[in-house]
Amino acid sequence: MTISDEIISKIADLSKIEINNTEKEHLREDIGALIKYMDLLCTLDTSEFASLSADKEIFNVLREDEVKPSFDREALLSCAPVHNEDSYIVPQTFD
Amino acid sequence: MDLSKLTALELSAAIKRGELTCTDAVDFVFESADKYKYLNAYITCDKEYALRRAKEVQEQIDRGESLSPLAGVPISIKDNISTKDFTTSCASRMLQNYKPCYDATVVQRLNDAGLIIIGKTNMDEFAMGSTGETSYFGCVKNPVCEEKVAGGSSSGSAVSVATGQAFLSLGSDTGGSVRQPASHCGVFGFKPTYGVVSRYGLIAYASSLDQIGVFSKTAEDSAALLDIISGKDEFDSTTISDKIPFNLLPEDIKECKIAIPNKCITGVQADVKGAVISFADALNKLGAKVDFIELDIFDYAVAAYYIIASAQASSNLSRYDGIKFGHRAEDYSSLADMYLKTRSQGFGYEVKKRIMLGNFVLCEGYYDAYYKKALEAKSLIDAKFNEVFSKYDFILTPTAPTTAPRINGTKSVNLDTYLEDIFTVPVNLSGLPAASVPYGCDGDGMPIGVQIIGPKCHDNRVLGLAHAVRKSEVGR
Repeated sequence: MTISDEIISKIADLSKIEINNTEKEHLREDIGALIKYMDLLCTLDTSEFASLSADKEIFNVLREDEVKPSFDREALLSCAPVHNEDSYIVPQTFD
Repeated sequence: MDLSKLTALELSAAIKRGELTCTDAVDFVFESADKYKYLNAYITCDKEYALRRAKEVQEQIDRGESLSPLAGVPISIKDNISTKDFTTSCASRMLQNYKPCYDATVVQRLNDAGLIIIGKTNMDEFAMGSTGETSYFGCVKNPVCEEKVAGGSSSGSAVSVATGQAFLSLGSDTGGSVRQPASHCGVFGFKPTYGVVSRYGLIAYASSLDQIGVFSKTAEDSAALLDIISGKDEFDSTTISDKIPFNLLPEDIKECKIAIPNKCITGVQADVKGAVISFADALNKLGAKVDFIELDIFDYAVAAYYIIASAQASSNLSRYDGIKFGHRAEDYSSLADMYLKTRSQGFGYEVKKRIMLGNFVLCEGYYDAYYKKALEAKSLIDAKFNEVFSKYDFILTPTAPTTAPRINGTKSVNLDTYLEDIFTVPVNLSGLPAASVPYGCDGDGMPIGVQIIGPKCHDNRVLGLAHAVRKSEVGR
C-alpha cells in the first residue's frame, strides 16, 4: 500500500510527535519502504495459525496479595523534571 | 601478569590466589578505557566508584567469603539496564539525566556476586538500530577499523569486551542486538531463551522479544555469568520457574545433528559463507552430522519482527510524557502541547519512526493486515523451528550476512540495514537461545561470527557446543 502525507500526519498525531515538513517527507519515504516490505507477509499462507495467534500461550501469573515495601516517595519524585515535596507538577489539565 | 590475556574466570581465580587484586583489575580496564576512548564505548564510567567497589570486594575475598567464580571481575552494563549508582540514558536525550531509584534484578545479582560495575555502555537510542549510529551520544566505532560500525544496538558492550575496557558485559537482545555487535567486534555473545534472565529494570523496547544477554571472550565466561544472573524473579512474571543449569560441559559433538539452512549461505558475503562452511567442516571432522536444509522463514521473519517490535515500542514508549521522569520541554502552551514538544525534542528520528510505524500497524483498518498477520507469521515460524528441532540438535547460520559496514553518519536506519538482522530476528520471535561465536575474519581483517541456535531452554547445550569447538584444534 502507499503511505500518504495524510497517513503520516494521522500517525504522528497518535504518537504525540510533532513533525515538520522535511521530517514528514523523510518519514513518508522511510515508512512507505518498510510497509512495502511488510506487504511480503500477504504472500504467506498462515491460515493454519489464524485462530492461534491471539490467545496462544496466554495465561495468568498470580502471587499472594501481600503488602511489601515500595519505593520511597522522595526518591521517585526526584526523577521527575518538575515536582514539589509530594507531587508531580503538570500543566493545567482542565479549563 | 598480562591481564589482557586472561578470561574473566581466570582473572577471578588469580585474584583469589592473591596473584593480583581487584584494584589491579579495575586499574587495567580504566587504562584500556583511556586508550580506546575514541571508540566511544561508554556513556558513563566512574573510576572512583569502581575503585571503592574493588576495595569492598577485595575485603570480602580476603575474609574468605565465597562470592562467585566471577568475584572481582570488572563488568560493563548497557545503558538501558537500570542502575541506581549510574544514570541510565538509553542513549537518548529523553533520559539523558535519568538516574533510576532502583537496580535491575541482574545488577543486584552482579553486585551480590562480587562483580564490579565500571560504567554504562553506548548503544543505539532505545536499542533501536543495528549499527550504533542512532545514539544521542555519538556513534560507536569498530575496534578493528574505526571507519566501520561496531554493530548494535549493544555497540559499546561489544567494544568494551573486545578492547579490554571490561572483562564481561551485559547487553539486551530484541532482534540480534547482542549477537550482531559481538560478531562485528570479534567477541562471544549469547542471547538466552526468553524468560531465563529477568527483564526487571531493563528499559522496555519490545517486551515479548527483549532479553538480557551477555558478552565475553569465551563461552565458559558467559556460562558463569549466566549462572549468576539467571533464574526466577518475583518482579518479572515472564521468568521461567525452573532454573536452567549453566554447569558448562563440552557438548559431545559425535552425537550432534546440525542443520544449515541453504538460505543462510545464499547471497551472503563470500567470506561469511566461507566461515560458516569452515565451521561446519570443523564440526564434521569432530564427528557431527551436518545437513543442508530448506527453511524458508527468514524474509518473512524480518517483516513480522519489525511489525511486532514497532507495535510494542509504540506502547512502551508512550510513558515518556515529560511528567514522571526524563526530559520535559521548556516552552509549551498546554498539557497536550507539552507532550508533543517533549517527545519531539526527546526522541531521535529512528525512535520517532518506529513509534509511528507501531501506531500505524495497530490502527483500525490496518491491524488485521499487519499486526494480526505478523502474529500468525510468528506462530508459523515457531512451528517451522519445532519441525527442524525434532530432527536436529542445532541450527547453524552466519550471525550477520556481512561483516561490519562503514559508518554512514545518518541517524536513520534504512531497509537494507533492517535486512542485516535477517538471521537473528527469527530467534527472538521464537524465544530461542543462540550464540554468536567469533570465527575468522574477512579479507580486510574484519571479524565474522557464526550463530548457533538451539531449542528453547537448551541454553547450556548451545554454550557447550561453542565451548567444545573452541577446545578442539579445529576451532582455533
